[in-house]
Amino acid sequence: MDHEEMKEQFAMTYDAYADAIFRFCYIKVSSKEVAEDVTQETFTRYWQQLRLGKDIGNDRALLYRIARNLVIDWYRKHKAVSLDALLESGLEFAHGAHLETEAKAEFAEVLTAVQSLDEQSKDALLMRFVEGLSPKDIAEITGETANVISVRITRGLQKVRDQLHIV
Amino acid sequence: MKNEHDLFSTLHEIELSKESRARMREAVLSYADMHPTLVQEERPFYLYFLQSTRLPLYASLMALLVFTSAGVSFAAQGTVPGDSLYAIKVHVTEPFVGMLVAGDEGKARYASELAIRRLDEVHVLAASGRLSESAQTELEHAFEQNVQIAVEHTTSLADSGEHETAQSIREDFSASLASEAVTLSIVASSTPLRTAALVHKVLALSEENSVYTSQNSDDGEHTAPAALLGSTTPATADAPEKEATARAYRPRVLQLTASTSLSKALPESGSTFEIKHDSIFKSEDGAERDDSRELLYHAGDE
Repeated sequence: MDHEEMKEQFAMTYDAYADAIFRFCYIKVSSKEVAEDVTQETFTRYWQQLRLGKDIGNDRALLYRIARNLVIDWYRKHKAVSLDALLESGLEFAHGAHLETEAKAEFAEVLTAVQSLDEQSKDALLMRFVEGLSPKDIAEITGETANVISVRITRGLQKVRDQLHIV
Repeated sequence: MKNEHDLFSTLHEIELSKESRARMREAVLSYADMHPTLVQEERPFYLYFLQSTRLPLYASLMALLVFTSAGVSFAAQGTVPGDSLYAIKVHVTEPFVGMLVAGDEGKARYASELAIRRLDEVHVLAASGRLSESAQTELEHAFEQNVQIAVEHTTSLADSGEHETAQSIREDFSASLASEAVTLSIVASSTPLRTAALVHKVLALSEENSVYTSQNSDDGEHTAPAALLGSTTPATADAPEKEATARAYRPRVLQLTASTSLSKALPESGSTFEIKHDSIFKSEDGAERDDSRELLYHAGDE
């Protein structure tokens, strides 16, 4: 595969996963600007793997793995931004939708509940229910077994329900 | 009753704005053009060899290996810019060894070693009064290139899940850079002023690589020297006060040990800071010698 062909494949991967990676990063770092920076860095690192001719296998898993590592690096250097700042940062939603007051409150509640989880549970829940990855896919990204991921998802979801007082 | 999908449905709707998506797409594709693929098309070996534009280079290398004694390569080892065999070292021996190194870990470590070697050469030239601006420019450029290669391969390791190996490489590189910063700072005052800028750059790189080792400190935070040195990014809550105190009345102290993280302190022009290098070692007769040094370094105008 020559450079142009590889670049075309890279562009298709970007088009397919840019929103998903941004969404994952955004919920974890609570800042639109940081999430955009991390998303862009994720794709440049993904290109680095491609250009070295590595056998990538699962592109999606690699992208999430890179994004996750970058978020961890960011955590090391920065403190979390407040939820208020996050809500005021001007989010975009699919199809140009805007959140009404009630939906905004619910969104804030769910986000607070998710962000109160430990990082591993947060990752598992986001990847499962926001990004639609299977426990097997998530296991490939985190380097754990699918069984561990499934247990983590179940427990994390229960904690979120408890926080939101949902039976 | 709300199910999981109801709970997270709003979160799933988050996406990049059209402008951000387009801008980012352009940026990453530009990046791809600036870093073209390294993967060659597959060709039969004999066609590749015969049609390669590098055939003269391969032939030259073979001739060098066959007709040049090993002593030439050995003699080239300790050379610096300006020496007759230096070109052999950087254009033949080092690339040849580089070709033999396999894997991201090996390549990252070798590139780090070459980066440090270039700094050693700056020091050797400076110490003997032979450091010209052109030599320093050449060595700095080579240093930065090797740092970039080391970073790429270390990042590739981390992205492949080999975090411990990547961290080990960063720790070793940070320690080596810290040591080089000390030796360079000793000669910086008597050499072209840009050497001072090089010291700053090396310190910053050491700091950058040492962020990953901060988990190893007792309190899990990146503290001690940065808090004392007037760093622009204080590591602890009370660091700004310590910073002000440190700046106001005494020379800054850069305490270096094998595992210490360095700050990004950049001395203002005209300021003075002190370097303490703690080094206690055993001499051949078994006695302990204290090679600690306390040097006053005066930052010149840049």
